[in-house]
Amino acid sequence: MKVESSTYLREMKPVFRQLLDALLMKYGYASILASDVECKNYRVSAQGISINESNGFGKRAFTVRVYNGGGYAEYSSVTLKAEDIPAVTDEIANRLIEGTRNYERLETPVSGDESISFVKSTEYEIDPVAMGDEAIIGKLVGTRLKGMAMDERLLDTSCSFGFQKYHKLFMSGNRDMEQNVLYADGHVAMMARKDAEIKDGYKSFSCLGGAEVLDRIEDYLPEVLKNVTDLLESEPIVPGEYECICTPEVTGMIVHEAFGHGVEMDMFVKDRALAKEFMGKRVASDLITMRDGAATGYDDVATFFFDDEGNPASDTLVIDKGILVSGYADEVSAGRLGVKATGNGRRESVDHKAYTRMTNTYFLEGNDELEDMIASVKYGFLLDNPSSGMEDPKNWGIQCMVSFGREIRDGKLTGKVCSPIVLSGYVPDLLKSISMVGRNVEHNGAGYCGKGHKEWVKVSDGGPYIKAKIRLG
Amino acid sequence: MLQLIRNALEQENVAVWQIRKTETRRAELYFIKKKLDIPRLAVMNEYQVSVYRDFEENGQKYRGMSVMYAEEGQTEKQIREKVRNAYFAAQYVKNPYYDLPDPVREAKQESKSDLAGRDLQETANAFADAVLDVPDDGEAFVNSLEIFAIRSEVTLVSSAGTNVCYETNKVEGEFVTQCVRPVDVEQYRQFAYDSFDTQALKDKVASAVADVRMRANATDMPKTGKHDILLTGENLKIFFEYYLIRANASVIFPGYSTWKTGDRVQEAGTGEKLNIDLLATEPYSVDGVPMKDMVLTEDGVLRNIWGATRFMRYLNETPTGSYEKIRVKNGTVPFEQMKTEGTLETVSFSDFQMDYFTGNFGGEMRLALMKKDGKDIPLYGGSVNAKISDCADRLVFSTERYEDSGYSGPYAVLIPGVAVAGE
Repeated sequence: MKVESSTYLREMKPVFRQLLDALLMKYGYASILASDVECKNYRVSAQGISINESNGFGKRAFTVRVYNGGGYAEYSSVTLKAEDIPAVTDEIANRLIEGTRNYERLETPVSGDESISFVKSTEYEIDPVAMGDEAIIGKLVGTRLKGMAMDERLLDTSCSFGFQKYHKLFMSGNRDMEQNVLYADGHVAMMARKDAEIKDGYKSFSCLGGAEVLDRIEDYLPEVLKNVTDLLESEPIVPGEYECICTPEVTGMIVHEAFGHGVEMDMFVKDRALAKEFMGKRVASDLITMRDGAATGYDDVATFFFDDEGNPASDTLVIDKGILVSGYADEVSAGRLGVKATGNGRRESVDHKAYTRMTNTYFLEGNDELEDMIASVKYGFLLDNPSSGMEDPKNWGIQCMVSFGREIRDGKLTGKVCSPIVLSGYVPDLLKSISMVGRNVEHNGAGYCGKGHKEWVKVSDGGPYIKAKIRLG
Repeated sequence: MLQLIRNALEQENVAVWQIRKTETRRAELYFIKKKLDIPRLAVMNEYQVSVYRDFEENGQKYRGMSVMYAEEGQTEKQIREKVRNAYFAAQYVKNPYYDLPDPVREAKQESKSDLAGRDLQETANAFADAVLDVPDDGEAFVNSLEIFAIRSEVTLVSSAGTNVCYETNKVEGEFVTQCVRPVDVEQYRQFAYDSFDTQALKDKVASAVADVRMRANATDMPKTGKHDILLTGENLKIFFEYYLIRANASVIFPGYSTWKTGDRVQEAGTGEKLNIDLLATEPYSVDGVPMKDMVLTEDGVLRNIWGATRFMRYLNETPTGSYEKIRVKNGTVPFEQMKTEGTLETVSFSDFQMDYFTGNFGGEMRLALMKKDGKDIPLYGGSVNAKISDCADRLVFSTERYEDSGYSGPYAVLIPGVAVAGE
């Protein structure tokens, strides 16, 4: 089934059009992005049960963008009445633009604003609203009880599910687009205690769609249990460089955090990305091809039809057999760099600034079997359960953390687990060291991506199992 | 709008509820080098409605709660439908019964900050001017800057009769400093102020420019092995928050933490004794509890736990609300005396982290200074990986203090014998 349009946006459209016409009389370019969002999160744990709406990462709001000679300015608010239009246009002209006139503007070309018009919707199998609160909570409570019964050492098993159904309307002089998108995600996590310490493990899941993502939630319990109980016996790692096999989740973290942020082209404008000097050059082994886009075909939580600046979604080839061929760009950065925008201008919610952001980002599949990859390791680790990562586009330094690594000796897993593990080093060194790539791409969009330490947007990342040399500490 | 929501709650026979209205204005400025990238202005309203439902099963009393948001422009009929859905959902939130806070009725509390009453755009401009005024020699400079001047008015009303209103003001943001020679490098910093202290931001930026110059001259990584490290500035809030989180009722109630009042949470040793206070930064918590400063630890002993109403009631404690600022008592050693031969001063991390359940902390160092032959040798890269229980009894605090909107305490903490992965 397709996600239906928003009645609210349909009713508001004539008022937004009226505001847009008033702005186009005064400015060389004007656009309006408006949103209507329905978002609900469910969670069960030893802390109790919660069912809450959320509006932190999407709400009913609108943003106006105008071009005033040298650059853009933006005004955001929650809703609009026709009688408020003069006050809004006055605030933009006399407070926003006049109030910042003393600053020299960074030269910005105006948007080409080629004509585009469409209404598009994503599809889903099970509408979470129709499934209902009782059935969703029932599924989570049942999974939790089943998990808790699996091992008496467990302190807690928590289960969550959430969905966001969002509708966006973009209008400019020549564009009139509407999109209706539904995505869902969740997690299963377990905690176990050993002395004063608590160890935890998790499995997260996501989909472009609805409550069908809950179908397999109980299947994740054995894997999470093994991870968390193994962690109880874990040891610190001896720092050093090791041969490592990365699970698809860890590959995704390397794709996204270590490399992906470095080719966000607003960083090129600021001279904050080393990748700018590597265009057309080798950055990874020839086994590696990387793509990003909201229209890659690998549908997940960051699949959409137009971005938050009104540019159509795309599928960008970033690394082609080890050679860096392209970054991705928001509208403003693309204009300043003289390249085409790739539909990567995204906002935390409509009232926030748009930056160049990733969407669905991943390495493509290779030809190796996991068993062969493990068998090829003399001494090293199978890295799993990524816990955090931080970008360093300027110097391509790696900081990624994983919950644990499983020791491999003479081509076999020994059963020893080391935790926690910090990955460090220089990104191209790691990517060039990739010597084996698995056959199947897995991607996950249960988390959020920050720009620095804020501006959280929904992304997915992933890839196949990879083998590389990595410095661990 | 508030009346529309109250009408909807009454028509749907919701007996217990709370509405939290937040009106926010934000003036935002984004700079690249010294040029304005984009100015933004946001005028936002939010109506968060907590709908409670009491019920019994097998003689056990429950109190379910579900949060919904009413949107500006919605009709009474639309709000009634959202209230009905939230009230329906609350019957599946099967949490043991607890009493809500006593109602509070007070006149509007004006902001005590000297940011109050100032024009938001002019405030943002003044902080931007302070940063743009930092000397730029073309080699080390501010690469980019984001400033947010934010004013919020919060109104809290409830079915029990709570009716309070207060204003908050703050200026926050981030900046990146860059040094292009001999190696092109950058440093990232965040800031947050609740007063019109443009000089504090100017000083912070100037210090970060000096740091990035040192980073550009760093040619080596630290050696792998055990080091005495100095943790400084904004990372100390994350370090000390271990004690804050482990003493939170929502963590204690499910058994994630076993701490209780009177426990010694810092083993006795040769180091400084932990004296941490929790500071109230807003007059009321999100669930309407009047907030006040309180003692968390005294000489390493936990004196109070803290938390929101539900979990504190479950633990038979008086709700305190949630805290976002801590104050840590000074130490006894001047910073310069802490920097003895071989000590590694961690100036900046890419992302310093603390695992509040295991006590593991660390991260990748973007800049560190190694004291060698009396000189500060800049180093970069490598990672710190340590556990708080292994070192908490041997911490040394500086006499100098560091202040920001979330932390007031020693500028530096010496942590002996920490594992560093480097060359």
